[in-house]
Amino acid sequence: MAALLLATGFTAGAQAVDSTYDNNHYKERLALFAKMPKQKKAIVFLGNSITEAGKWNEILPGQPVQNRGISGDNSFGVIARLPEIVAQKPSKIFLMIGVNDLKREVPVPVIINNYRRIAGIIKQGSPKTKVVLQSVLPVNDTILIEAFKKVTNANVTLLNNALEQIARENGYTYVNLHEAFADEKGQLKRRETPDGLHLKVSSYPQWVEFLRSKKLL
Amino acid sequence: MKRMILLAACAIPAFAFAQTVPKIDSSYANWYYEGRMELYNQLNNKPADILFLGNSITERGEWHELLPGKKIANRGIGGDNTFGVLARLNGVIQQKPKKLFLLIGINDIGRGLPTEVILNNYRRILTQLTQGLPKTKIIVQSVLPMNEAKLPYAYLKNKADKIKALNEGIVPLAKEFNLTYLNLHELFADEKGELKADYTKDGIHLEPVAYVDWVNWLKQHKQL
Repeated sequence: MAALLLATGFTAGAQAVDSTYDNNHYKERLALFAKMPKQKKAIVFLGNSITEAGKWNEILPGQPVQNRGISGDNSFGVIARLPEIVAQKPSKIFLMIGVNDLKREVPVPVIINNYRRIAGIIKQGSPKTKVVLQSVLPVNDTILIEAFKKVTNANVTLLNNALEQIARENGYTYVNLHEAFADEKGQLKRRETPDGLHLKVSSYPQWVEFLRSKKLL
Repeated sequence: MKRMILLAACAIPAFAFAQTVPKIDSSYANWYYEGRMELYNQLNNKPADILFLGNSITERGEWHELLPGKKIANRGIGGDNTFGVLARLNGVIQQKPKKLFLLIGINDIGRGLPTEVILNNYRRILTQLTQGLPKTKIIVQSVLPMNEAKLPYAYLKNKADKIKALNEGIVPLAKEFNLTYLNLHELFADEKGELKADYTKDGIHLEPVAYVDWVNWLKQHKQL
């Protein structure tokens, strides 16, 4: 990806924040989404590659599930495409975003600020939508692929603590997926991940089961 | 996506048929296939209205979203071939779909398998499906054309004759098993018989708009 470094207003004067998102895959996914029929009471899974790779539809057959994951996406990209999602007034949004922000060293406060913007956009556009903020998954740094070496579980925890608070402030639900996917050391379970960051495609039924156990699905 | 499958690690001995031809590559169980199977094996007990069975062309279809309210099972696996489909029919049968769309064979052609070998596999697939799913409406779809100018893969070039031969062999098989055969070329081929340029970026896979038109075409032909 072309490494355009754009400072946002938030950090003007501090350090340059890479807020780019509009790559080819992002555009292709948006073109695909635009072709899909509108669904009433949609259940939207919103996020990056970890969401995109989930066969949510298969695991929840017959339900109005929309996979709105875009590989590589970050909190800036979600903000940019959120109005279209919100306009449909979905019944639920399951959000997981942030690891690509961490990958490119976007400061945690900037990500948190983006989450607040996300919450605001949904509140305003579709106040009845049930929003579930899912914890950013831990990485497994013993096998983590080089491209994601900048992601630390310390930052993941910092971000997740803030998400829990944002959920509380907005009357949203926070779910701690670490209960399902972290080992006793707080690392992404080795057997669930091929690369220390992503989940195996076969791990997703367990995720859905976890959300069910929390009565969110 | 890796379309050329590495043979060494997962090669399975070719069946007896192969003794008359130089070498039959009957492998299918690569890492991608195995990963999908780990998922699908967890889902086989979920009832399906419509099951789509095939390779990447099937897998990339957003059938669920295009057919809201239906219980869809997308059983496409990128890179899969007729051997791979044969090996996973038990799970498909277990799912007892009301309707099943089959589209498979281009990866067999891509690795240069003789048409008779592919058709023999088709016969085995259709035998097992019709026996295992006597109440299911099974729809056999023609292997799609490709767009030569857009194909970046040398191993897929100049295969139009092979596709034609395969489809000509599938037609009587479908009839023999009393199944509906759909000639998708009516929708997807241009006047030269190639995959319409607007439908594809790489000459073989389909753009989102193609799936929208495909579903509409199936509806027009009262298959959905």
